[in-house]
Amino acid sequence: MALLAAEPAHARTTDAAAARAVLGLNVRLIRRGTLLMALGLAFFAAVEALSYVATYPDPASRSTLAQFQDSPAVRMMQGFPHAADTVGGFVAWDAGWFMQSIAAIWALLVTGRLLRGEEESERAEFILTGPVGAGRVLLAQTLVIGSALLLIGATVTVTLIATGAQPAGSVVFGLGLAGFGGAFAGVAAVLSQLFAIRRRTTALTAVALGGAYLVRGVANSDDALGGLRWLTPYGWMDELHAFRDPNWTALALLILAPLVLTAAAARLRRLRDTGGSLLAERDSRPPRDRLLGGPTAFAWRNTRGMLFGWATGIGLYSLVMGLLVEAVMSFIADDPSYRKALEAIGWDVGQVVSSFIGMMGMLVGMLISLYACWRIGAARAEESSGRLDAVLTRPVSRSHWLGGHLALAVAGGVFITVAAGLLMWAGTLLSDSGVPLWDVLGAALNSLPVTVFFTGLAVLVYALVPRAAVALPAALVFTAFLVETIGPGLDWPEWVLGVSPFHHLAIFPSEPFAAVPAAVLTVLGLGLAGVGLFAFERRDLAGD
Amino acid sequence: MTDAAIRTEQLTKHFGRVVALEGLDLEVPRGEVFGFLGPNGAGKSTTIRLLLNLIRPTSGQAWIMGVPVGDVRAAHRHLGYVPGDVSLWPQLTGMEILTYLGRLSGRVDTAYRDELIERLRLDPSLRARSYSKGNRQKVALVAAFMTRPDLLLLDEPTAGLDPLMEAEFQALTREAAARGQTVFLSSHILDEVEDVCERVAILRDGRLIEVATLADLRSMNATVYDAAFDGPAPDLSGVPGVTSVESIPDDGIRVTVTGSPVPLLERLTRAGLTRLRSHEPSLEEIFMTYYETPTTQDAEPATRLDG
Repeated sequence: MALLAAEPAHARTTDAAAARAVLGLNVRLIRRGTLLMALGLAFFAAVEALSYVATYPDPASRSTLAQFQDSPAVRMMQGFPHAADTVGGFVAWDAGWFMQSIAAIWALLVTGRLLRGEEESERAEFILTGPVGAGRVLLAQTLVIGSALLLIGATVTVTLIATGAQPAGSVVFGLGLAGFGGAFAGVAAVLSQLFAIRRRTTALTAVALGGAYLVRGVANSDDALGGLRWLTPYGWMDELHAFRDPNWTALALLILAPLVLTAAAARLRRLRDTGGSLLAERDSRPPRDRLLGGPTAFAWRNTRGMLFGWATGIGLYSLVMGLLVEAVMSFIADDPSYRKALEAIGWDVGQVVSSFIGMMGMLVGMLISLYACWRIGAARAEESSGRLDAVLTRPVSRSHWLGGHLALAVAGGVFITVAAGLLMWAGTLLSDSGVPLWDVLGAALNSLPVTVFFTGLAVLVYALVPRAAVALPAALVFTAFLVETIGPGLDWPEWVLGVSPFHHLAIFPSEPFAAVPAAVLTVLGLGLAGVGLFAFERRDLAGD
Repeated sequence: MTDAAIRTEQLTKHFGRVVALEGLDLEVPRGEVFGFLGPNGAGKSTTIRLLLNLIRPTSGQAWIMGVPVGDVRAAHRHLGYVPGDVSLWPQLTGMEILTYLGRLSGRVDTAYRDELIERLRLDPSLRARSYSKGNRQKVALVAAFMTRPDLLLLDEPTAGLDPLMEAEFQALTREAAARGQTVFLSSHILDEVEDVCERVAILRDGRLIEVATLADLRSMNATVYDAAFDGPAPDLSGVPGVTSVESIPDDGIRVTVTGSPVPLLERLTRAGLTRLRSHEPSLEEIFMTYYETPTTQDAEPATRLDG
């Protein structure tokens, strides 16, 4: 009897130790990314809050901001202004949608990586040979992701309080932000059980995120459709209004959704084999021999899905921006304090619409530059997985291989730029704002030199610091954009602003196209890429 | 065209402060089946990756068929490579991968490719993500052999294969050698190279310690003694000529000695020897003497890099 009693006790201790080990491993896997996200979002929130205080120093100027709540277009894009006369309320309204989206994108990427990527690489099998079940490993992983999101939310909360936001509202907003990210982590967790391929899981969750944003946009376009807000986490965040009379049902949904989705994922996990999926795809098929002729054709075959995904996302966003133009026309012109704020960041009041289109072109340029970083990251993934060895041990030079990826990244950037420009113009056409095609398309093309510059920079970073291939250039793109959009309003010195490539562009169409900086940025980008190709020829290939 | 299939001159690779390979001078003539032996972490994969230009030497030079390894467009026309750990594109089928790799190489004997698929019992219609380690290995073997390259660089190529497939692999290697192809076979297991190789090099801690034919290795002046004592076995470290000592359960120790056995015998006698038997060592035992680390300090550094 004593022996029988002793065994389960022993088993329990190893179980606990194994669970702790799994937790520890997953913490190690995502802690750096978590820290970067927390710091990045906190920095963004702080800059937003400080720019608000600088631009709207007194109650009078702040109260005029509320006039924006009448604009369906702004509601569609970023939601409703609640308590926009307070720091917290303004940040939640002006930047909340963006912070939520960034947190959700991070959460879905990390979830796909831990829950599916680890299985794809067969590393998960090491873990599962330990005394810990697959369902439990999933719970441990989602616990780590959830904790990371709470940490990110808490960092934003503390930052908001520090910049003068109301403490209670800051806590509710931070919780909501974490819950928002958690909801999409939950979607990714469920999809990881349904599909065997990480890329598919990640792509479908991103589609769900984009779809939620669009549904929320529709819900906010007309009061009669307001009920649709309850369908998506974006809508829940709209309903939450953390800084004035919070809606506890919305908060409950934001907290419950991740928990329910995680429980469902754990349940589904127990129903499937490790490495398998509930929606099995056939493993056998007749060969498809197209695009197998060389490294560049092959790269196109493997990354075109990614290109079309980004093009669809950025294109839809541009369409919505185009629809907004008409609304911007009528509202910005009526608001003197906003006009003052606009002047501070170099906008011409007489050409409000041109400026708006110009800024949107820049924003689209930022997104396409991010695409370029991810696209070069796809080349890095070939190397880190070891698949590149099979290519480079054949008569294929490294320059040929990486040059192909570079050419595809640039061509993809041009493609998305043109598509975004055309869709934005289609948006202006639908809303009858009568903007000429060239103004809109030109605004998008105006940012292309920045995209080329960052593509070259991404290639150089990939060649010199392969392990930072996506994170470092993407962070630089984002920083450069923030410096250019926020710096002028805060009177940052010219040399700081000059660090951002965006700063050197003329804001077309409100300013005449500046050919010299465009040419310099393009040449610099190609130069950086050239140095990158040269350095890549001479370095060791390196795994993860 | 009398250049060696492989030639290296003082080939050296350091990873930071870790010495993975130090001053390797090696020449493998054309048409030879050459074994490249050493324990895990000895620098075998480092050498092969240097020959493939996947990593760049810290110093020294290497040539494949007389072409500097850095000139990959020329050098890799002669090459077939099988890694120990094969990574494939998970969403592609085996045949799609073979088509892609074949087109990169330029010239594929499709009849031979199909024969290889048949003999290795590979199902090429499956997507790579459903392949086991052994099946991925087969894809890499087919991909390397199907171009009939002048030089096959094989880095522990049978790691995931079952004994039947391993035999098939050895048959393929012999056929390749019979056609005049050069085979450079790296392994940490003697058995794998014993049946096919004429000459072997032995690498330890990044340094070449022996290049010899298997016949030379066999005839090395080494003897193995099994000794039993009436008390505890003596400490034989520091006795001249002793290259390895292992204990035989309940029955004393087994000592390998090269050169004169006199110092060892004196030491054993003083320790209360009760029984002594001697025999010629097997190839395996000779081989193991090379693997023993002479000092304990520099034993591990390269281990993680070679994996």
